[in-house]
Amino acid sequence: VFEGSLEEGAGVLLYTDGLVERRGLPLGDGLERLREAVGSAPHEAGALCDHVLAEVLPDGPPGDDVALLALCNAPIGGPRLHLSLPADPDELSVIRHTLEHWLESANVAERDAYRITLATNEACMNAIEHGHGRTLFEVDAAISDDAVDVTVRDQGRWRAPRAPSAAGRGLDMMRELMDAVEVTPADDGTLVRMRRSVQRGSPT
Amino acid sequence: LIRLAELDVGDPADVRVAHLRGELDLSNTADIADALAIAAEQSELGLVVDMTLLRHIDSAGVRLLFDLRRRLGRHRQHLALAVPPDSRIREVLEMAAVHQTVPVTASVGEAVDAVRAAAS
Repeated sequence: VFEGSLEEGAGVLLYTDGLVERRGLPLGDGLERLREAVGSAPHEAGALCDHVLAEVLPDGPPGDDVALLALCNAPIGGPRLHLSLPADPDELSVIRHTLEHWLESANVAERDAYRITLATNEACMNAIEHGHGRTLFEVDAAISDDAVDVTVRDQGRWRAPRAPSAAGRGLDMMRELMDAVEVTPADDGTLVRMRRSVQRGSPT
Repeated sequence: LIRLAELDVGDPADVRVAHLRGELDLSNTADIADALAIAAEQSELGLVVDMTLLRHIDSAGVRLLFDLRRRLGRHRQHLALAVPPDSRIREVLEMAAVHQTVPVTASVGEAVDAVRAAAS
């Protein structure tokens, strides 16, 4: 077992030998071809795999099966954040940490960032409880000069709260933490839109 | 694997202290609730949950606290929380009005006193 941390922007590509081994060609040639393909590839996991396959195996798969696994530590920043995640409670801490990191990189005041993260966590908890682990849900966040908008979209329908103390408390918290909260139920899922005005420091 | 939350339960005593650290959310509330219920069984007067090093709590954690209070109440035991004044989780507890039913004190010592006072 190897444990390490990936620097921001770095990645790991795992592949089966069918990608680089060719009958009648030295292994070094195949590896060199792979290195060149990775060097010119985009820094997003899916696009990277497509690019590597197109460069290294232009004629499609060889006799052997080929499996590629790409892992990218994409930098978090910019005016928008998009997450698409399985409806699993283990994802909640991933969402909180990613969102806090993003808000911090946008110089949002700590107190505002904490409240936005808490409200998003509550909305995601509802999305997860409706999804039962089978579906994906999406979190989108956007920042302007003085406000942050967050939307959480799931594929389930919010039922009436089991008890006023359960989902109802989460919704009350969201309303208290944000300036505006709007819940839109639809046949194909539930959409939560939230907004909070924020104070932003100057970039460091 | 790094656990999101850790629970260290102090020795059995008249008031047992459970130190909760890390992040409490929907992914671990069930396990933590079970561990706290077991800890309370070996305590005479009740339980103190020390949240000094807890970095996150949300509505799932608040639900756990209210359930725990009810559970202890059935055994004539009492619950108190230790949360430092500068802890950022205080805001969540205040929003949910936890202090109206469970004493929220600044230190473990005060929380233990609160349980003893409630039991006397």
